[in-house]
Amino acid sequence: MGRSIIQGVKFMGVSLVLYLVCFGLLTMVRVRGGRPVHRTSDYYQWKGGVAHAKFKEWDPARQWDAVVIGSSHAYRGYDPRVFKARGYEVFNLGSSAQTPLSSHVILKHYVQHANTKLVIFDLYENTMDQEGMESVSDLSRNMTSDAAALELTADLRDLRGINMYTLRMLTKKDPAVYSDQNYKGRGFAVKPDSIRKPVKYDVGRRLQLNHRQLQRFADCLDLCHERGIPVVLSTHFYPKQSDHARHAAFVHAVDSIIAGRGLTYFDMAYQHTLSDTDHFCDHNHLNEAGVAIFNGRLIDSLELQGYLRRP
Amino acid sequence: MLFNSAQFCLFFFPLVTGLYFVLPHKWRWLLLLIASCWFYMAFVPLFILILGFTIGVDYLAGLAIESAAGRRRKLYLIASIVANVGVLAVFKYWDFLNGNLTSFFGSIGLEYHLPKLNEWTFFGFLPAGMVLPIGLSFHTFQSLSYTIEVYRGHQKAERRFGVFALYVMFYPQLVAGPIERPANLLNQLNAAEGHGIRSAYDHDRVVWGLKQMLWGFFKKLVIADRCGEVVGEVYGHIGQYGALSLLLATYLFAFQIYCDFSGYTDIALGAARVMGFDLMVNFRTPYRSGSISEFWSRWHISLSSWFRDYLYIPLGGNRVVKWRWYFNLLLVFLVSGLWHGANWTYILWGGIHGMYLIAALVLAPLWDRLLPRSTNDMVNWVRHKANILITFHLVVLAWVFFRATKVQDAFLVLHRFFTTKWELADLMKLHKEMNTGLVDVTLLLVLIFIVIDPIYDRWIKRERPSPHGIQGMMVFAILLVAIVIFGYFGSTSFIYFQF
Repeated sequence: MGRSIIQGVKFMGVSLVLYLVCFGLLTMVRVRGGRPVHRTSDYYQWKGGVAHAKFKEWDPARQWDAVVIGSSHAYRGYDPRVFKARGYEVFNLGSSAQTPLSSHVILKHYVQHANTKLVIFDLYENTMDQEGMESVSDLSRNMTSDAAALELTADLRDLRGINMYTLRMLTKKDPAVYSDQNYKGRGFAVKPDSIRKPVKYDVGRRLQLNHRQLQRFADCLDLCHERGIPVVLSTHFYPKQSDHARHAAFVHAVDSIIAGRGLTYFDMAYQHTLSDTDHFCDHNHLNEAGVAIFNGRLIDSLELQGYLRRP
Repeated sequence: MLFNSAQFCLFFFPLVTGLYFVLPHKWRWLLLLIASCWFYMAFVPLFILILGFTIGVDYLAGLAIESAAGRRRKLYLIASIVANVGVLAVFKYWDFLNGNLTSFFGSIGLEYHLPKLNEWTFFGFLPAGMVLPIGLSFHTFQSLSYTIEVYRGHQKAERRFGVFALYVMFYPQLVAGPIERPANLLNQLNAAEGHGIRSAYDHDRVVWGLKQMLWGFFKKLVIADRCGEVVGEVYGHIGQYGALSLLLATYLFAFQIYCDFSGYTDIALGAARVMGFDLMVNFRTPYRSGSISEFWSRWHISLSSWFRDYLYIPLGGNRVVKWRWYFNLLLVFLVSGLWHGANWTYILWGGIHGMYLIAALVLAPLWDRLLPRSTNDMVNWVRHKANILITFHLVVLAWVFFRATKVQDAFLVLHRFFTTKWELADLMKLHKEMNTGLVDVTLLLVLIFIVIDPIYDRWIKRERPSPHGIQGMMVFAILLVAIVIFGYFGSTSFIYFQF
């Protein structure tokens, strides 16, 4: 048995060296201007875009009245400019397909009692029915903290996480490859267009929530509670043609997690009279006009319940 | 539980294997039986009742056959066959038969309606919406081989119910084979000492088993699942792709199914070997066969030998008049096709292979005249390679029927092979549909696999000594690194699970 353990350790050592050499070659070598590693699998993302800009902009020393967290619903749906017009300083830490697994790492490494008075946690059912690969891929490439990226890729519990983290470390000094013209600062990216083409709404798909995401969602709430940061939950307007039953099932699941925690959940998914075409840019994201209306409603509600106080 | 899941690799396998070596020999069967139940119930727990029924019937049938004499022996055997085939008929073929009867009666204007299997609840005992129990055809055939062998007097009836249940349920090969025979596996579970259930920890054997598992994972995660992405895209949109893309997808499917199934087998054999069990060899680089009959002696060997021993030979095999011989061959392959799945595509696939074999028998003299054996090694080499190439393409052509979901789709693929233009633009379209150069990398990996497959296969089967020391570690570390960098993860199931 002892011999097997020694051989196993040696084998893992040889494999590690070989892995670093192979991955290094795929990452360092340039073929037609690109790194071959990006052609090996479809889960690698390029450095840059909204996530890269927002983490560069984030200043941990600054105090915010509220920090928004969540998926693209968050970073496209909560406009710090609207909050600013009402006198509140808000930063949006939402990112593409961000699942509670990623939110937990962001909260842990970036959001403290000293810099955040309130966390607005955007809830969207499609972030909790997946493993979170897309979000980890985006964040592991664009977050500023190596420790956060390591924790995130490890928490994914998937071999692909090793590759993502290795890619991050090997290309650390690379500049961003692209930027998003819709990025407006403080973590927000706008979608000005309304719907011009017919949209296919995702209706009738059974909700299958990922139990690890539900657990991490509860962990996020616990973490904020430990740090003394109040949390409000929010779901922004959904198009009327979207799946009401699926959302109802999701809300039911959320209710069972937040029961007894004394949290407020502003579920505005269908509490509106907006147009599915004029106020949305696709089948589930608000456009600029929709965001302005939603944010106004949300700020009213937050003020009414005392979460935001006029300066 | 899937072999390619974190649950199996990080928890189940190390735990069960570790406990296996810690436990006294007399309790190992119980550990393996519990582990096998756990493994099977990870899919749909309730289906273990079906497995339990088969095990119970065949256990009793084995004892009854052994203690009976004359006609009664045959009656007990028939009862066992009826029960096993009955389970298959209900759970695997009901919807197929029912659907065909509905179409038939509909075509002659008669109304016919019987519920589909997923509408059955067995008087409320089972939930509606049932699907085919995983690996049903595999364990049913394995169980059947036991009663047939007891009937033939080749095998003593197993008296310990738990050991017999373990023979049918042994987790490494429970859901996708190899379809074991009692003379091999049951006897290893009963081994008086040494080989099998009483094996001591043996470093060399454990390393051998782990290497075989690694090779299996490489085939599944790096080759099969990657090919599956391209094949799925093309076969999911047959009408949108031209001849070149369809051809490429069909070639890739040949490697997908080979690597998927033989990958599973390698993991199964490796996992069993670590614990001291030698399971049947199921594949021997089948795409290097020089004829269709050779292909079937190298592809899914445990199934083809099952059909040979329990169907082809009892039908008379080749010791009958010629037309009957051909009929026997065709029948065996049609049944083999049906074994794979309740769909006309599988039956046609089996029929095509049967026809290949008959055509080979009929045309063999002509072929020998066209490409005669020579004393010149070069000529023989060319002849051998030509045979391999032709056999491979015949097999690939038949895979079209295996992969297509409907017979019409299979014929559409063949139609498009010959009627659409061979344009590079078609391949470029496929290239564009797939993410980040997936097609290029997949093709490159398949080409590498074609070169290394016979080398690793011989090392794994110990037909050629594998390198030692640091060199030995490197050749297997390459597989592990390839899995991490190029592997497709996400717990995709194995194709043969559905059978």
